[in-house]
Amino acid sequence: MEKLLSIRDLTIYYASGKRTVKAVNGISLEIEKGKTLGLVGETGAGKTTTALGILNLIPKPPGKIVSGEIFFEGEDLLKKTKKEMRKIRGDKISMIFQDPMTSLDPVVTVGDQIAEVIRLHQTNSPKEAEKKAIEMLELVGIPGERYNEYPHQFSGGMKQRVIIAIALACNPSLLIADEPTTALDVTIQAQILELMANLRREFGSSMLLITHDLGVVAEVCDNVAIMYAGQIVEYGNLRHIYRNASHPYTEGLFGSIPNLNDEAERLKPIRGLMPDPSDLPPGCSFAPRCPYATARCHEEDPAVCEIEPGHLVKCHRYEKAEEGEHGSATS
Amino acid sequence: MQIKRKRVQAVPDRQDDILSLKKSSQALEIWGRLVRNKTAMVGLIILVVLILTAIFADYIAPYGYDDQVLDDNFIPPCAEHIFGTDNFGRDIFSRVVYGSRISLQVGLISMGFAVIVGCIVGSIAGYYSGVVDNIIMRIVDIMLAIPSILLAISIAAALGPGLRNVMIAIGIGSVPQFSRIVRASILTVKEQEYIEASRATGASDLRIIVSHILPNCIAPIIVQTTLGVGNAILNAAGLSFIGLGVQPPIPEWGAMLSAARQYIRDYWWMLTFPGLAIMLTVFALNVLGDGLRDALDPRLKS
Repeated sequence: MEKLLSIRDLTIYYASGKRTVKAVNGISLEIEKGKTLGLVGETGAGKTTTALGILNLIPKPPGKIVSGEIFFEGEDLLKKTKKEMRKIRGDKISMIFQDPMTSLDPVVTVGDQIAEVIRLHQTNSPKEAEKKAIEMLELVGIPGERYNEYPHQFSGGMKQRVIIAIALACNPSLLIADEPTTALDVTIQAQILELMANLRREFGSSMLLITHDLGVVAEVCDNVAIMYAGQIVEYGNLRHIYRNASHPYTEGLFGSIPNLNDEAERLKPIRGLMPDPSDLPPGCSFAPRCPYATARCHEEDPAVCEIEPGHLVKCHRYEKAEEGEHGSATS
Repeated sequence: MQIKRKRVQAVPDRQDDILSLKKSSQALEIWGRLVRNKTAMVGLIILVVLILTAIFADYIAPYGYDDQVLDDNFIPPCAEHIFGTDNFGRDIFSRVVYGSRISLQVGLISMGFAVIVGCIVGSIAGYYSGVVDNIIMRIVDIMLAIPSILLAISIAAALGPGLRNVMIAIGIGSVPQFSRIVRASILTVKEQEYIEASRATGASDLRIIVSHILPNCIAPIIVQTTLGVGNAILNAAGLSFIGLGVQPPIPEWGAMLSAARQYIRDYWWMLTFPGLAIMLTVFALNVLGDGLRDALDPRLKS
């Protein structure tokens, strides 16, 4: 498969006073044409920073892309000028934000907000842009007659539909969805996910889905990257992650989900909190919370190893496995 | 809404129809909301009357603004001189009518200037923050440290007397306050998620400021403008008083006020009528401004 987006060793820091917040620490990931990658992690794991990094929208200062390459359709986005980036944003890469309540301009009609993107990128006449906006509204299931209404006249789910219409208006090849369903109630979540899946199929867009909901990932994604403290700790396809969760953190995440078949009285949450990103531990950043942690984990940062084709894990337990000591790895 | 929808479906090209509804309906909606606001309508009517007065002053004023009849000085309001006469025997009503030309011009044009410049300067400072912001705002601070009337005096003194220079002086004198207010509101709006969202759609900085940030901070700007017009009229009066503004005998409400100052004990009408005229203008602008602010904000729709 052809790679649409490939991030290599991306590192993003925020300078806050004397401290440096290490938000993203050398992550690498790839998205193939037409596929969906789920980026899963706790609040503060650096998921949104990664997304903003792709669009080159990190607020600078205090943010800074320290190193890395972001290849999109074969070109490094970090080497683009401001003007070139503006042409890409909204046209080739577009983003759906987390909270539909606050990501629409309250004093501009929804139709005009959709038309604005079309006019920015397709340089049509205003009239054509407006007609296309009506088509987009209807495509996401909103009657075109509501073109002239303002965001406050829409419910949360409807607003998210409008935002999806804006994001897909220029037929982007990559859609970044930052927790698109978090702010919606469960009945609407399913509708929105289905709408996004259908439209994506129609337009042939790839998607980077940022979420902390493993249920959503299972429904929508092809590949999954589990992120912890600015690093990708496990990477694989759906079957790798859901059938053979290997990193202790991923295990912990699944342990935190209630299971219908288990009679367990209590859930098994992961003990402790994420480390302070301005003061990461010297070894594996998950070591302080890891039930399998050894002395080596606290001192030495583990390398990434491929435990089966396409399934990457960043943990010392599997380094041993590669060296041939299968016993401890599968315990 | 129901009725609209039926009508739309009956017409073959729906899209054109929706769009033709669009432009007119937005303006109509704002107008409709303004009309429903009774106090704002009172303000609008007063303002329209004042503007018509200024335009048709030649036909409305019973006497010329500088017709002196020295025998008829200090006549209290009566049928012949409904606002009375002043120390030179000039008809105060005529002078107030002609004065509306000067005062409205000074108020509206100098504020218009201050709003435009203040918005540009404030937007740049607020949006780009950092060094640019620091430089601009320190200059503004220096200007604010000088009382605005003093600033206007020095500018007027440098440019020389005359109506045009008064407007320039007062306009420049009011820029710092506008820049401050615009900057403050931009700082709050630019952190909103919809600004980030529009940046993510590839909009340029200019577009974001003009079509997303400024419309969202229109409320404080309108309020400050309407208050500022009153101030501008009074400042113009101050400048005329010390001889840097409009030159006598051209009537100007503020100048009339200052001239009447020494007669306040015995001849109240000399001071009251120009004062009322200023008050009425400021009142009309204020209530109209409030109404406009509410009408322009779609969130307040009832």
